[in-house]
Amino acid sequence: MNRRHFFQSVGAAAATVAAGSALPSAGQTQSTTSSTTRKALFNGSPRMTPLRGYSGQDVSCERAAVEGKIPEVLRGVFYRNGPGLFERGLGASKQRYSHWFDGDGLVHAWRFTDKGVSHQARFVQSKKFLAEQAANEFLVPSFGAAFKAKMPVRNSDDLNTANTNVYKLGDRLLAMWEGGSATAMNPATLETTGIVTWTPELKHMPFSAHPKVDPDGTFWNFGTLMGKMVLYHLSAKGDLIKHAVFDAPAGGMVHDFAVTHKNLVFLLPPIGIDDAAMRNGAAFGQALTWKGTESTKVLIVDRSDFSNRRILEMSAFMVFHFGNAWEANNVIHVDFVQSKDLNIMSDWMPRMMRGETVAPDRSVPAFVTIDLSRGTCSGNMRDENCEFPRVDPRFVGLRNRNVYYPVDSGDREEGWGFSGVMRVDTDSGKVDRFNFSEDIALEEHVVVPKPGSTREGDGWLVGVGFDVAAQQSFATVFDALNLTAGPQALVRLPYWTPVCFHGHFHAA
Amino acid sequence: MLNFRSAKNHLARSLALAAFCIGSAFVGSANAGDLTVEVKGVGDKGNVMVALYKQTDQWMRRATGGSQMLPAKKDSMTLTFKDLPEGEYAVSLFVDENANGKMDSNAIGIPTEPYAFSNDASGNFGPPTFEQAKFVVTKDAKKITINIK
Repeated sequence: MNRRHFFQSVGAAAATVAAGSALPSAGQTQSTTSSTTRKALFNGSPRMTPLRGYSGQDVSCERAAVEGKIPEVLRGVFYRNGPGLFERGLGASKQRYSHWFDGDGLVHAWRFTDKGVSHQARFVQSKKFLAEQAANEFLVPSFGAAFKAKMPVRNSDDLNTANTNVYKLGDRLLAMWEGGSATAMNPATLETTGIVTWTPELKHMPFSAHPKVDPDGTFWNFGTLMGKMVLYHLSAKGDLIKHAVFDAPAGGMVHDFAVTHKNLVFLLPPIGIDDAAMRNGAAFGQALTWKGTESTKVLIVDRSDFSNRRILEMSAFMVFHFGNAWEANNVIHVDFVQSKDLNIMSDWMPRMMRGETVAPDRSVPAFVTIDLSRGTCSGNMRDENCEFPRVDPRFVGLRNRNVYYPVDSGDREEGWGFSGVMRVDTDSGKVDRFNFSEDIALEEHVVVPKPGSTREGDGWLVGVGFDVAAQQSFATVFDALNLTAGPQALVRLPYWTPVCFHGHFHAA
Repeated sequence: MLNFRSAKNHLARSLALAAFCIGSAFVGSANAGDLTVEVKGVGDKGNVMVALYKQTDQWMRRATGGSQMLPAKKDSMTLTFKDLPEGEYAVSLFVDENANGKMDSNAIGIPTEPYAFSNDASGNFGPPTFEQAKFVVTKDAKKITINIK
C-alpha cells in the first residue's frame, strides 16, 4: 500500500492500522486509566466516546506514532482547549452535565519538535474544578445545568470552566471561556497560575474565547454580561492598551467577532434572556430564547476609538464563528458560518450529550458585505455543512482568499462529527477538500504558515480528529494549498481525548 | 455566560452602605450576651468591615447591631460585639483589601473584593436573605465562624 493510498483509506482501515504500524511504540507513556478501554463506551455508540469525557486525570504521550512525514520546519506547539469532564459521582448520585459547553477545560499541547510529536493534556485548575474535584460532585450551576450552588457564587469566575479556547499571549497561555476572565497557564507545563485581571475595573469581567489577533500580534477581544459589552485592546505582549464598557446593543449571548484593519465587526443574533425562567431556576443556557422576528444587528466599532460605533440591521440568522473580515473603499467583507437559529445549541447539543446520534441542523459558509457609505448589508451562503472556520493568521483583518473548515462529507445519515476538511477560495468559489472515511470525526483545523514565506496559504493545515474504529485521537498535517492530496502526516495517540473546541498553533 | 442582573449592583451598594452605617446605640440589659465572630480565610491585605443586623427589614441596609473595622489578619481573626439584647441577628462582611474605605466593584457592578455572611450563606445571584444568614443570640456567650471562600 503506498502512502497516498494509505491515507485515503485511513479510517475505513483504521482497525487494521490500530493493530499494525500505528500501534503505540515503546517510547510512549500514558497515565490514563479507563480512557483507553476499547469497548462501546457511550450508550453503545463508539462515535460518542469522546463525549464521555475524562474524570479529571491529566494525560501525556512522550512520542506519538507518526504516519507519513512531519515537515522539518513545522516546529512549535499546537495548543487546544475543550470541555473535558462531564460527569461526577458514582451510582445513584452520579451527575452528568446536559450540555457540551459545561465541561471543565482540558488544555492540550501537541509539541512538534526535532524528536517527534508529544502530547500532553491537563485540566485547568480553576476554582470550580479544584472544589468539585475534592468534593466529587458538581457544586455550582453551569451554562446548561441548574445545579443548586453548594459554594458561594459571587461572580462569574466562580463558575468559570476556562474550556473554550487557548492562546499564548506574551509569556502566558490564556485558557479562555466566555462569561468570565481568562485563566493563565504556564505554556511549558500547562500548570494553572490563576485568573487574569487586566485592571481592577476589569476584574471578573467577561473575556470572550474568540480574540482576534492582527498579523503583528495586536490582540482584540470583547465580552458581554448583564446587558453590557466590554472591548479589549491589548499589545502583543499582553499589556492593556485600552478598553471600553458600554450598553450592549443586543444579544443575550455573543460568541465571536471579526476585525478588519480599521474596525471591529460584530453580528449580534437576536438572542434574548427569559428572566422569568431564570427566576424559576432555569440555567442560563436554558433561558436563552430565539427572537426570529427581530433583526441580527451589525455593530461596527472603530478600532482607534471605541466610542465611535455604528449599528446596522439584517434579517435574523445565527452565527457562532467567524473566519475573517477585511475592508476596502469603505466596504467591509466578513465571512462566518451561519445557521438558522439557536437549535444546534439549545436542542441538538443536549441530545448529543445524552448519547443520541441525531444530526444537527445545517451550518454553512456565509458571506456578508457591509457598505459603510450607503449603510447597507447584503449576504450570501454556500451549501456545505461545516463549522469552525479559520484563515491564514498572516491575513487576519486583511484581504484574504482562503477559508478553511472541517466539513460534512454528506455520506453519513446521522451522528456527530465532520469527516472532511475543505478550503474555499472566496474569489473563485473553488473548493479544495479531502474526505476521510465516515469513521473519522474531525475538529477545527488551523493554518500554520511556512517560516519565511508570505504567500497566503503557504504552509500547513493542522488539526485533530477521532478515529472511531481505533478509539484513538490523532493530529493531521496537510499542505494548506493542496488538501485534496491528503494529509502529509497523521500523528496518532495511543488513547482518545475529549473533543476540543478551539486552539492555536504557536511556532517555535 | 451568567446573567447576574441588577442583584449584584444592589449587593455592592448595600454591603458598602451597611458597613458604614453607625449602629444605633443600644443599652445593655440583664439579658444581654456577647457575640464573638471568627472570620477565616481573610488574607493579609486591608481591613475587614463587619456589619451586624438585628431587624429583618434593615438587612443589608443599616447595621442596626453595630459595625466594626479591623485590620485584616491572615488565616483567622476574631472580633466581639458586647452586650447584645437577645434576639435574631445576621452578619455581613467584606474585606476592603486596598483600604480605600469602600467595597470595590468592576465596570458592571460586580463586587471585586471578598465578602461573606453569617452561616456562610450565599444568595442566588445576589445577597442571601436575612433568614438564610440569621442566628440567635441569648444571654450566654455566642460564637459564630464565617469562612471567606
